Amino acid sequence: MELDEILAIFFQECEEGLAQVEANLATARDTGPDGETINTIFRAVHSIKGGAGAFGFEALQGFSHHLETVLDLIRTGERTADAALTDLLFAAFDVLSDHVASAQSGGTPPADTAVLARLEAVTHGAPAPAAEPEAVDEVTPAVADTAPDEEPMDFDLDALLASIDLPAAGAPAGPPDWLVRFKPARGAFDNGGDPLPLLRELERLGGRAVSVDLGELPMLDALVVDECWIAWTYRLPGEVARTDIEAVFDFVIDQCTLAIQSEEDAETAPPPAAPAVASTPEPEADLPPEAAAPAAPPSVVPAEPLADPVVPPSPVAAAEPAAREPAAAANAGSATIRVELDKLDRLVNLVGELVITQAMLSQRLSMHGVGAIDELSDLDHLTRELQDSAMSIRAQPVKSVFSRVPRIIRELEAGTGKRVRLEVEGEMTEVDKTVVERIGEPLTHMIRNAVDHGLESPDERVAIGKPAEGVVRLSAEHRSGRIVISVSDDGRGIDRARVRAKAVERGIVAPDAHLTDEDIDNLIFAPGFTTAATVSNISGRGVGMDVVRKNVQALGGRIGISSRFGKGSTFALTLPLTLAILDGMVVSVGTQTYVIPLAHVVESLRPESREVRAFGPGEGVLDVRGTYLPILSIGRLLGIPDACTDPSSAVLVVVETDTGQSILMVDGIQDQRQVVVKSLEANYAPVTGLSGATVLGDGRVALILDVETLVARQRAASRDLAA
Amino acid sequence: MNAIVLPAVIDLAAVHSLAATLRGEPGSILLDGTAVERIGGAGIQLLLSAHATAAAAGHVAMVERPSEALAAAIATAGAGILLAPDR
Repeated sequence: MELDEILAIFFQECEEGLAQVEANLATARDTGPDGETINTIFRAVHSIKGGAGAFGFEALQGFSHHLETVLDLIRTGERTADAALTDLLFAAFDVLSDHVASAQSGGTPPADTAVLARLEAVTHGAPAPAAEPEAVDEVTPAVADTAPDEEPMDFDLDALLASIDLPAAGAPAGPPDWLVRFKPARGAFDNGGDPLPLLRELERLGGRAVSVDLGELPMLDALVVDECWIAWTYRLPGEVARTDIEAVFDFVIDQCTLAIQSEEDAETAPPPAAPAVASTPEPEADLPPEAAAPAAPPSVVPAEPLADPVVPPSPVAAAEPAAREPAAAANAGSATIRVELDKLDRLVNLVGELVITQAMLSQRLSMHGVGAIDELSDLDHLTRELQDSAMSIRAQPVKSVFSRVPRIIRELEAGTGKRVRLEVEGEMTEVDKTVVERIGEPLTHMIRNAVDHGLESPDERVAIGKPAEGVVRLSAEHRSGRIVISVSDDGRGIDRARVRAKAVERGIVAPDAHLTDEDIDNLIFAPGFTTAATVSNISGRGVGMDVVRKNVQALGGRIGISSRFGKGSTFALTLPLTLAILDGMVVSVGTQTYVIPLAHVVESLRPESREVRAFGPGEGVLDVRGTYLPILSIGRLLGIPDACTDPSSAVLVVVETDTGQSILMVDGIQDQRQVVVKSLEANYAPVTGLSGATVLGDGRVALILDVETLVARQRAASRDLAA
Repeated sequence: MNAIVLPAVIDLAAVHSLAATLRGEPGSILLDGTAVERIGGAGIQLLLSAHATAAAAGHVAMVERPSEALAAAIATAGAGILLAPDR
């Protein structure tokens, strides 16, 4: 495995770790911290620290270390995670996220001195101090200066060796100790690897070496010095969580064999027969006699596993059904594997090709009168199932996007002085990875809008009888084959009179325009619109909601608003579940076939000639229930010579766009179906007015219309003409 | 009994030359650990192999005056046997 690949895995694990930290911090804040919550956070930070150290991200490692120290104090009960300390942990989490991002991008590490100072203060016994960035920035050294590379060690060899002793008889009964057998792979020293730091981590958890197994260690003459031939058995206190022990080996899990078992289980298992060497020269009373014997020539007797068979690390839980409760959670992930996205994309692409080929086969057989055979129907069914399965592999829960929202809310709270309670629902709702990746920005805008514009200040809220803390509710659900993401607030709602006044002031609408409530609500999406009185770094520049709508429409989605003045607003994003497959209306224009994305289609009409007011060939307006909509001839726009030019003999498709409704004129509608989207950019070149292509059942390529661009261009051309 | 002064850094890069030195010492050896500032798992493994090899031949190979870093690494690796006479 190349270093880049290992690094990529590290950052993926960082991402997962950060998500765990944030989720558990939220739990700690909402329901009070319990041991497992803090342990989970500690483990995640510990893993990030370990990886950061291994890859040389000193700033990340240093910061993680400080955070880990505070977490350790909490989990050992030396500090209580009160509200102030929880706030500090959230602040530290934000900085930790920034550190990870900076390590990943190779950018400058974030300014962390203020938070570091607060962490340091807690470490030294002070109550969690509130944020005072200016004051502490000057006195706190940068993280790089304080980044520790090793645990401090008050070294006393005698004491250390003595401490290897087992618990004295009559000692208070606690949970039985852990015995950990760790056997690095032969290649454990490759790429700078070294088992010793892992053993140091076990020591830090209170572990002590019981024995070192030299059973396979060759004599000096035969020793290949850059291969690892030895194994260790460590004893750790029973109070240490098993998952903490497993976390030590997170990054070498596939380069070692690891067996962790409680001492009780070990006692019932056969004693070791390996020529293991006790870690101290003097035999210990209750060590197995052979473990304390002088080293036998190691090459004579091959090593037998210690008490527990040495098993590959991932199925540890399966091999040890008596394992404790945390093991289940830690091993829950073993049923998953990581797959490179490229491989998945290739699979999805091939399945797409298969769908097309199947459709072609079906069509060809139909032409020969054998289209109704059962096998073809089965093949069709299987192909669809395969396609659904392939697409579901790429599906991800929206949680990865939703998990960023708490931080945004915290920043907004700090910036606006408002108090916000975030309620999240449906975060496990799955949607294609591409969609997940692209909804982040629109969602951020919507959240900012909800807090900055939607919610009132605490004083205002109290004055009108609302709780001081506002509520922002974020939800996701599947509805009719699409995903609907809603952002609601219990704030002031849209003040339509004010919105209208602002729109008139900014020249967005005429003062005498007749506007419905929906029209006024939609003014929020007009470019340059804002009702914010002052421009802040949060909002008020008028580059928010119009961008949101554009981004959402670029994803083939729509955004809707419902609002009650004084009660709050809900913004609902409706998005396709995937961008690789599109619901389309297949239409004919002349001899050509095009696909209109169904997301844009409102209705299709075949008008009476009296309903059309023509201005010229292929141009005119249609009276659709009292509203005149412009007719755009696709044939004329795309230069298709034999396309129908008479609206009354054509089919008119009413489409919804950013700039309002319009009508696309086509010769006829062939079908409505899902099509597999092929990128024009990747396969040919970007073409204005076309968003992609697909291959139809008869093998012909059909171009997918970029309705938004076509309508916008036509409107711009009409305005130029009018001017 | 010959004495060998262990180098300051016994990492993977250094174990090859140290192994060659140790292989050239057929009898008992004292390994002076005063100067060791850093030692990795490969270094500890080499010393353990030297120790076992000497023991098998009826000799001794042991570390004396270990630096703090060396003593810590020996303790971590459970290789206290390196510090004690083997017979």
